[in-house]
Amino acid sequence: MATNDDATTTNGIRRDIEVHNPPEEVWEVLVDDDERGAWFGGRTRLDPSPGGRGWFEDTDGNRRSANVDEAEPGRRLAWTWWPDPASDGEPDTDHPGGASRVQIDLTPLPGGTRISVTETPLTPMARASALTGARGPLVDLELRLLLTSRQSAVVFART
Amino acid sequence: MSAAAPGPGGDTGGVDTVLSALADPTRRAIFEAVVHAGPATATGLAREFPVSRQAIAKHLERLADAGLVRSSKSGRETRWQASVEPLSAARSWMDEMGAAWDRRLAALAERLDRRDGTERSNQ
Repeated sequence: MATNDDATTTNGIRRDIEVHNPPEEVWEVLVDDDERGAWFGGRTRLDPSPGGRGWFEDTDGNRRSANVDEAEPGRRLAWTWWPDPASDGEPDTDHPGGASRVQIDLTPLPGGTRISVTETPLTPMARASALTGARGPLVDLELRLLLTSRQSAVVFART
Repeated sequence: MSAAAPGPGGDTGGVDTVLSALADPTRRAIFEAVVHAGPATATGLAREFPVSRQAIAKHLERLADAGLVRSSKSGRETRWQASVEPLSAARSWMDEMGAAWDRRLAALAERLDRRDGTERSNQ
């Protein structure tokens, strides 16, 4: 029986769940596009390797672009995602699309796996040390800013 | 950066600043002190915390950047008061994101459970 522990970290949210399947099997359901679409609740494509690109759609058709930060088969899948301005329809120069980082950790348990998900909002000028100091090794930050008078400001941090 | 309610695309404008401002335990404690006993001065707060008045002032600046405190001049020293609206926006974001992941994880667990059952019946 799956249990659900939730917690609010001061930098974001965290949800845990336990399943009877081994980590390798959970991994398949995370990285396969059709499997992920089924549980995510919308179409999605993702290249499950560091630096891989992808996107997620919700039931309202809102789309988020994604960039994979970490991919350790059977252990961790992490990506940064941000609202795709094109799908929102309205240019919003006041609020650059909010990016956040999703990290899914798989921990083997006797008879199954614990799946832990954290989602942390990112500042547009995110500094790796401020965000990842407590969570893991520093990674290089590549920041790209697209700004025109007619389009939304899209800012994402590629780690 | 203004504190904004989360939009349909999960807009985090301001939420990130609020959450990172509150990530530091001392700063969080200072914010709580202002919430409970405000308006407060940096000097008054320095009496309650084992940090210097300068450090308190720096923390208050970070809180002000996140819109969590606002200042007013009163006599010789600046007085600080708490604003809870940014906190509400951050809380709304967290509730919304948390609910979304609750749904996704429940669906994920259900999908995995079906695979698990199939495998067992095949053994």
